[in-house]
Order: sequence, then C-alpha cells, then structure tokens
Amino acid sequence: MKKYFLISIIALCAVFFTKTATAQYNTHWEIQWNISVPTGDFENWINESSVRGMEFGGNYHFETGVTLGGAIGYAAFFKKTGRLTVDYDNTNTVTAIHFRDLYSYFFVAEGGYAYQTDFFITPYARIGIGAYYTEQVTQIGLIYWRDETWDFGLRPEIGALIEIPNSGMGFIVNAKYNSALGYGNDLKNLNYFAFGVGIIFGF
Amino acid sequence: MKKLIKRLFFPVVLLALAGLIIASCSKYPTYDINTSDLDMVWTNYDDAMIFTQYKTYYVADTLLIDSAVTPKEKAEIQEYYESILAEVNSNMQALNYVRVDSSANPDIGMGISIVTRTNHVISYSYWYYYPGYWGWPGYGYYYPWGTYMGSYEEGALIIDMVDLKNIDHYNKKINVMWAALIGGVLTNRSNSVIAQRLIGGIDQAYVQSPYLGTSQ
Repeated sequence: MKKYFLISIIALCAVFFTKTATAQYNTHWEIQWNISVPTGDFENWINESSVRGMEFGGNYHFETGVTLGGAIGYAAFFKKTGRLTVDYDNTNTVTAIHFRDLYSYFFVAEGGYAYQTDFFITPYARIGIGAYYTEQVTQIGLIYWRDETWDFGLRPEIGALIEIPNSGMGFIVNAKYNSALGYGNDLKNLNYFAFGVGIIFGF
Repeated sequence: MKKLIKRLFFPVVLLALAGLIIASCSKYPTYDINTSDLDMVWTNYDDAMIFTQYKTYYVADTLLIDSAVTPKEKAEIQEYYESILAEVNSNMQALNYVRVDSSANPDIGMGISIVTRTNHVISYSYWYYYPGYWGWPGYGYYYPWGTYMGSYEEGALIIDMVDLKNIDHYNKKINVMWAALIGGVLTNRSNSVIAQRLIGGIDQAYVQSPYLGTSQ
C-alpha cells in the first residue's frame, strides 16, 4: 500500500508541477534519495553508511534570492557486529552478536539563499531547523530492546539546483549534516552526513 | 533524435529515482540472521569471592532437565549430555580444580541444567471486518487477512557453581559463586549441531571468566 502511495505522489508531482516556461521559478518541490554516513559517537555504534534514505520538500524563492521552505524524510542504519564480549556492571559478562538498527526521521523548516543567475545551475545554501524522531533498536542474542526519542535538530546544507531548460523540472544535488542535539540513550550524540540526489519540480 | 532522447530521459530518470526511493522505504534490516547468530553466553559472579581458595568440586553425573520437556526430547538431550559434562569437567580441570565425590566434602558444588521454552509468534495484516452490531444478518467478523502463525524453541544450558565451604546453616542459604547461561534457538534439532554450539558456549563461559581458577 505504501509503495503505491509513493508512486502516486511522484506521478502527481510530475504531472501537476511540470511547466514549459523559463528558468525563473518561485516554488520548487523536491524528492531526494540520500546516502547517509554516521559520524562521531554514532559512527562508533554503527560504522556503516546507509543507502536507505529519502526526503520530500519544497522551497519558495523570493526575488532577493532568499528561500524558505521545509522538508521531511528519514534515514535507516543497520549493523550486525561480530561476536562481542562486553562487561556490564563489573560482574556481568555477555558474549553475543549485536544487531543494531537506527531509524532517524526529520521534520525541518528551512531557510537559505539561492544564487540565481541566467545559468541553468543555481547554487544554494540553507539551514534546516526542526525535530528529529529516532528509533534505536538493539538485539543481543534473543534479548531485544528499543528506545524512541524526540530531539531538536539542525541541518545545514549546501547544494545546487540543475534546471533542465524549458521543462519545469530539474535535478538537485547536495550535502547536508544532520545533528539531533541532546540525543541520549547509548550515544553521546547523533550526527550524520547525508549526500542527496533527486528531482525538482518548479512552477 | 534529440527530442526522442529528451522525452525518454526524464521518465527513465524519474523511474530510477522512484525505484531507489521505494527501495529506501523498507524497514527490514540489510543483514541476515542465522540461528546460531542468536547464541548468547552470559556469566555472572560474586566479586567478593576469592576463587583461588577453593580446590575440589562435585558435579552430578546426570543433568537436570525441566519437566516441560517431553520424553522424546529428554531422550534426545540424553544423547549429548555426556559431551556437555565432559566439557565442563575439562574446563574445571584446566583451572586446577579437582573433581571429587559428594561424600568427600567438596569445596564447590556444581549444577548443570537445561531449560527449553516454545515461543509462539502471531502477526497479521488487518484488512477490515464487519462488526456484528451493524445488524447485517449472516455476516460475522472477518478474520484477519494474511495471518501468520509460527513458533520457535529456545533453550538454555545453565551452570551454577555454589560455595559448599561457607554454607549459611542458620538462614539455610548456599551462596552462588558463579553462574553461566548458554542460550539460543533450537530450530536446528540436529544433536551434533546443538552439541557443537553448546560446547563452544561452555568454553566461552570459562574464557570470559578469568577470575576462576585455583593456585592450590
């Protein structure tokens, strides 16, 4: 059901948001696929990149070049360790394989600046501020526990909008840094880079 | 030609991106889990204990098996209990402990037991149902669609080491010095495979307990 819903969203965006006018647009919508890379203490827990990431967003471009908008999306990280021996509370020792999963959902409002010229590439920089919802799942042997938390987060981003002339569509490429501030549980912080590529629809 | 390429380019890229995004939506982990991956070895000990002051131990020749086990399962377990016992004795003797009879006033008493449990899993995708109070004659509740039911058996080998030198006769307590639990899923009922996993677990329990051993 979910995949049919997503296909419908993408098709609707392609149909309704495509135009054949010129490069200057006020609003663009974007759908991105993200590759995410953990950093810091998060990398010590899961040191593998994630190809399971996506986001959907939109931004309004003012004449001054300022942009305002928002985005929602998520990234999923997975790690199966080798057999580890860990001491707990001095007297308890457990040897087992650890299965570690982390799902990061973000809901951010974005503001930034896009350097618009007559050229078909528009570089931009923006920062997202909003909420991060995180599900952290750990399984050791047959023992399983799950933590959920909401945190305030920041997401600086730089990238470029690549317009296909006279089509109302284009591409977006960017790099961003996700930071869920004050994240607790077993990690001191939750930070990860994300490299996105996607399609934009402007009207 | 250029127009044809241009007309095909966007749909192809759009479809490719749609495929990547849909694939990203899966919540299933990217790793595989095998039965033996779920094996776990847990040990705990009394850190006030000075293990080097103990020399002799007693362990029964038979395993304690919980009453939930069927006679057929008990017979199967009997087939490999001797290898479990031999491995425990081998590890104890490597630590310079000496096995004695119960009448020889041993310093340590050891208990070895096996516990098994069957866990049932029920998951279903709910479509919809017609509630009876809507008054539709002949209609009942619509059973969940796509119901899955399954079960798996998990087992644990438990080794206890108790202090027989300092029994609290007044409060009728015997202190546990050290305990080990080797647990996992018993889906593969081949005795040789289970025995192999258990023996590996027993050895690991002693490896991760470097405080055990006697210098006497």
